[in-house]
Amino acid sequence: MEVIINKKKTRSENSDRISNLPDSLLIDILALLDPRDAAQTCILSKRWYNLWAFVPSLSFDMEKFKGKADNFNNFVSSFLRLRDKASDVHKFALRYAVPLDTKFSDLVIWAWIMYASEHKVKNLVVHLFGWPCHFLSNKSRFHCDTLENLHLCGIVLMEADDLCLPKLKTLSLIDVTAHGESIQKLLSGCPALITLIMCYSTMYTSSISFGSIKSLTIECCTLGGSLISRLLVLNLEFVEGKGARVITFNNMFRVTKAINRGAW
Amino acid sequence: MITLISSDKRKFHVLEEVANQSLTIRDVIEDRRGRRRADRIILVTNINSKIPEKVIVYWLRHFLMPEEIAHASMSHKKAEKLKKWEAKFFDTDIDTLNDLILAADSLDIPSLFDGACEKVSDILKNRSAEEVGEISKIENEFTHEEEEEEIPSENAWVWRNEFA
Repeated sequence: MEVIINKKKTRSENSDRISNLPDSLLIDILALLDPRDAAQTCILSKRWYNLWAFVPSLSFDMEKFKGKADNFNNFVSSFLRLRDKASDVHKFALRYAVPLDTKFSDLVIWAWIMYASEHKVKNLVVHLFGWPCHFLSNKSRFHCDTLENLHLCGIVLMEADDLCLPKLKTLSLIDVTAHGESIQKLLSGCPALITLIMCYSTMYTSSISFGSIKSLTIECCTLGGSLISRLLVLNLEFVEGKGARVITFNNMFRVTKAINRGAW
Repeated sequence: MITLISSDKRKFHVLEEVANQSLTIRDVIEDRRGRRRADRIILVTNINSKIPEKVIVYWLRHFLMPEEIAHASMSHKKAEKLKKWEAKFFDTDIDTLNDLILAADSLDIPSLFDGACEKVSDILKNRSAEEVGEISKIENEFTHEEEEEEIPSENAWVWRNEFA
C-alpha cells in the first residue's frame, strides 16, 4: 500500500480554498493570466503580494493597452524591473505595434528581449505589427544559449545581424523580410534547428542551405528576390508546401513542383 | 485492475490502462510489477470521493480519445465535441477545481492540470482585486492604511491609466 497524498486539510464552507494550493501551483495559474491581471493580485493579501513576481511565462500584448504606447512601455519595463531577479523566464511573448514615428527607438524592445535572454528564455515570440522594424536594433549581435523556440513576425533582418542560437529547435518566420544573405547567416547560427516555418516572408538571397532541418513549411513566400540559384537540402524528412502558393523564381521552380507533388 | 481508495474509504476500480494516464500511478505500478495483488491498491488520502469520480470520468473520456490521435486524425467535429465536453467538465465551482488541481498535481496528470488551471485563471481574468478576493474568499489581512495608501502608491504602475 502506498500513500500518495498525505497532507491533512480542514474543510469548511466559505473558507479560502484557493490559498490552500501551494505557491508553485498558484504561480502556474498566474502564468495563464495576462501579466497585468497577474500583477494586480498583489493587492489580495500578504501572501499574494509578491507571487506575481515569480511567474515564469510572460505574454505582453500591446492591444490590451488600447494602443497607448507609453503606458505599455512603462508597464512592461516596471514589470521586468520589479520581477524576482532569480526566477527564470521560460516563455516571453511580445505583441507590439510599432508606431510610424522617427523618434521611436526599438532599443526599448531590445532591452526586454535581452532581459528574457539573460533569464534563460526557452520560448521567444516577437510579434511586431504596424511598421516594419529591424529586430536587432543597433546592436547586431544576439546570442542566447537556452532558446529552443523562436517565433518572429513582422521583422526585418539585415545582413550584418549575427544570431547565435545553439539550442534552437523551431524557428517560425512570419511576414519577415530578410535582406542580403541574412537568412543564410541566421540558419547557419542555429546548428540544432529541426523545424523551419516560413510564411508570407520575403527572402533576398542567392542560396539557402537547410542543414539539419527535418521539417520545412513554406507558404506564400517570395524566395530569392535576387534570383535564388541554389537550394541545398540535407536530412530533410518532411516538406509541406501548401498548394501552389509558393512564389519562386528560376531554379526554384523545379523545387516548388517537387514540393507540390510531395515527392521531395 | 487497480483499486484507488479515497479519504472516505470508498473504493474505485479502474483498468490499469486507464489509470496509466496518471504518471504517478504508472510509476507506482511499474515499481510493483509482479508482486502481490494487494499492492495494486493505491490510497489517495486527502481526496474525497467526489474527486476520484471526476478524475476517472476524465480518464475514461481521454482514454477513449487519446490526445495524440486526437490531434492527428480526429475530424473537426469530434475535436469540437471533445472541447465542448471539456468545457462542461471544468465548469464547476472553484472548490472542486481546487481539488482537481491538487489531485492532478500529485497524481501527475498534465492535461487535467493544465485544463483546471486554465479554468481558474479564466475565472480570475479581468476582475478587480475585490472581486477576486470575494470569489476565492482570500482573507485580506492588510491594515486599512496599507490597503488605502501604501500598496496602491508602491504599485501604481500596475493600475496607472487603467480606465483611461
